[in-house]
Amino acid sequence: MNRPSPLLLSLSLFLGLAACQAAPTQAPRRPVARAPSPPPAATPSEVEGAWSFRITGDRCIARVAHESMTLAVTAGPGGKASFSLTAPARSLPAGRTVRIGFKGDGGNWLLPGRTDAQRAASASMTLDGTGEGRIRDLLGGGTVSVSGSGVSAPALSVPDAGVSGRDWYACVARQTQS
Amino acid sequence: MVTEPNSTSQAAGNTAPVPHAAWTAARRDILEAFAAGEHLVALIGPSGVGKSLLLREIENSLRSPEFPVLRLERAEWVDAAVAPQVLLVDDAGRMADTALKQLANRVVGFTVVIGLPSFRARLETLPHRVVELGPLRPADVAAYVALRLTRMGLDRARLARGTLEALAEAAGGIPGQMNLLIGASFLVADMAGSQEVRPEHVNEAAALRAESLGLPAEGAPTVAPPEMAVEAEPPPAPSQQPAQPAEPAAPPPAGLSAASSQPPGARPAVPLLDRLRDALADRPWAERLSGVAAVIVISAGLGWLLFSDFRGPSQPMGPIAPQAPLHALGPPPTAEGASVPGTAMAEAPQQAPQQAGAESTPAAPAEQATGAALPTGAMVRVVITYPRGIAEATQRASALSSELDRAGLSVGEPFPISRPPSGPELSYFFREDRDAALRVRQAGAAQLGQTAPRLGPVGTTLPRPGTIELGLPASAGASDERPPPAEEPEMPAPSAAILSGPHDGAVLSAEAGQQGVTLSWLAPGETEPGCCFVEVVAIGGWEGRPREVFAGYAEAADQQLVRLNRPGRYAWRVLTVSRAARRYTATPWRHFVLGEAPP
Repeated sequence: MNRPSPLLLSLSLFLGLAACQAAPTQAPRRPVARAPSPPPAATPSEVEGAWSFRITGDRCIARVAHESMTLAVTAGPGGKASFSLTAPARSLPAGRTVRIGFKGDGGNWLLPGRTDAQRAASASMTLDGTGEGRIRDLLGGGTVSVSGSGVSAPALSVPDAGVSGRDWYACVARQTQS
Repeated sequence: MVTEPNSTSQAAGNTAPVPHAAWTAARRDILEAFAAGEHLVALIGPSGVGKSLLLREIENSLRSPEFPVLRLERAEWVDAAVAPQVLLVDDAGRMADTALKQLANRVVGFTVVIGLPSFRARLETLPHRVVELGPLRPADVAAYVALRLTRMGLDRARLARGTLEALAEAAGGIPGQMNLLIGASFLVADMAGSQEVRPEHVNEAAALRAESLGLPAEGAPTVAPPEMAVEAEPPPAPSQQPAQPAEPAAPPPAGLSAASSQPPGARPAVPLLDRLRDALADRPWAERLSGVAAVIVISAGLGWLLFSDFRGPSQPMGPIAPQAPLHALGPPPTAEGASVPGTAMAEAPQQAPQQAGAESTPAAPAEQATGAALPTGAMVRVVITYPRGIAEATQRASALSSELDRAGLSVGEPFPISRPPSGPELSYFFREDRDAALRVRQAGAAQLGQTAPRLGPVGTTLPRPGTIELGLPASAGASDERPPPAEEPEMPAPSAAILSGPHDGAVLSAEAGQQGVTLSWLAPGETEPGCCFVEVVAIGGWEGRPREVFAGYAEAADQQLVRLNRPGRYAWRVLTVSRAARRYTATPWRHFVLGEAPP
């Protein structure tokens, strides 16, 4: 009886091992395989919000709202005013130092701010002549943006607030005077 | 006749004062005297100049829970010892000297007495301030006439060139005379079959009127000058009690009152009627009929003007009890009479809401007792814009702001804009606010001239009812060159909301206020968010005047959460707004108390 040749044995062993290794690749595909993700949605670099105004107690409150970015302006009480920006998802980082800037026809300004745990960016200022002027600039229309590490929120285009905003501004001016 | 403390004047449309420069200055002076702690002010002016209306305005301005106001209309007198803190005396020329002395010697309180110029001499020995109410300035006439015509429903376009000047001259700048002459001039023009009301119609009306009063028609002033009215007041005998009205506050309108009601003692107006008869006799039937109709309508209108403007809208309230506590006037004791500081009032919408029926029945008496003192129309606020970066324009805006402020209007800080209009622009944003815009124009006539108020454009954000915007151009001399606005079909005003809670007179805990008071209502028709503007005012704050604590378009169509941190009394209402019709309708004010029971 002839002994199998070493070559054949090696070949068989190789093929056997190869078969064993190839088995998984032959298994049916997982039914839960993740669908190919769509190309990442192009985040608009700028969105346009719409104004609304309110006077409540000792506060004058204005909002420029868009689904991707909302700015709230609160004047008073205590001679303070604040800007607060919120955006969905994670386009604003949590607990970071940021800068809130505005560019418009009336003027440009930049305020240091911070995001909180809920990823809302805010900056406050004294409601003096400068602060009042910043709000006035904002009411004239322009663009508000948040900048800083981890920020991917779009810029917010702020339309001219029109007569409603100019009427509301009287509330801000009263806060300054008081 | 006496109005009881904190009673409310009926502010019907045509009886609302038309502020002009002299009127505004007098009002300011009186309020300054009050603020300075003075005790006696004499408001002096010729007959028909608007003293009584101004007194009612002062009453509305000063009335508050802290300052009960008593207004005496026929110089009836009450003991100074029991008179309320603020005492307003119309027709004080009839008062006895002893009573005047009592007034002047009051160590507390504030008194305004009204009289013709001859009354001044009687006060010489008494400590007092004199405030004079003068006639219309020539610059004010155009705006005044425009507003009167609007209120009378007469077409301004019928005024020919020179008619305004003729009216001003014939009336001597006296608003009361002007009111009568406007209607009479239109009547004379109608009688003459003229579409235009020309200066000769004014002169004819003035002559007819002078004739009916027995005044010389030729070569003499066609309208009784103030001095003549002064002479009409007989000097009272010392300690004389008033027996009859002394001040001929309203001369009969050109004898037309003969057809309706002739004041006792007045000469019959036969000559005028004869003229009218003659005028009609020569005309065909159709013209006669229209002429007769015109006579009836205008007579009725003038009669109404006569009795609403000059007899005074206040209702006799019977015997007074000046010392009566405020809450005796009716539940709840929210005698919040003063208007919101710095706000004027828009005319109540023509289609007034059926508030009374809409309210729950227990609320109605309280509404009537207290709600009418707060504005029934929107709170008017003026926004001034000026070109950014032009110092001269900034000064103009500031001057205009001061001028309007002196006129008692609420004016915001002037606002710089990048794209100013080429000429002055005066905009209102709801049809109900057009009359308010006219008043603004009148008060700011120096800069606005004859700028026609227009329904301004609104963007995505609807302005608040009562907003008036004044846009100043870069150049001071520019005028509004835009073509007249096209007539637009007027759509009906929205229905008033039906307020549901909290109910009138409700007492809520202070804690509830901090958590938020839910104001709820039913908005008929449109129920979208943004349909309704909510206003909440605190009552009895600084100087007792209402203070705005919430104002904004409601987030929901039928409710609004309002957080209130301070105990006190509050009033609230809802204005339903129609963007399509550019109109609004306000509910009556409702009241509630936070954190304390009514005293």
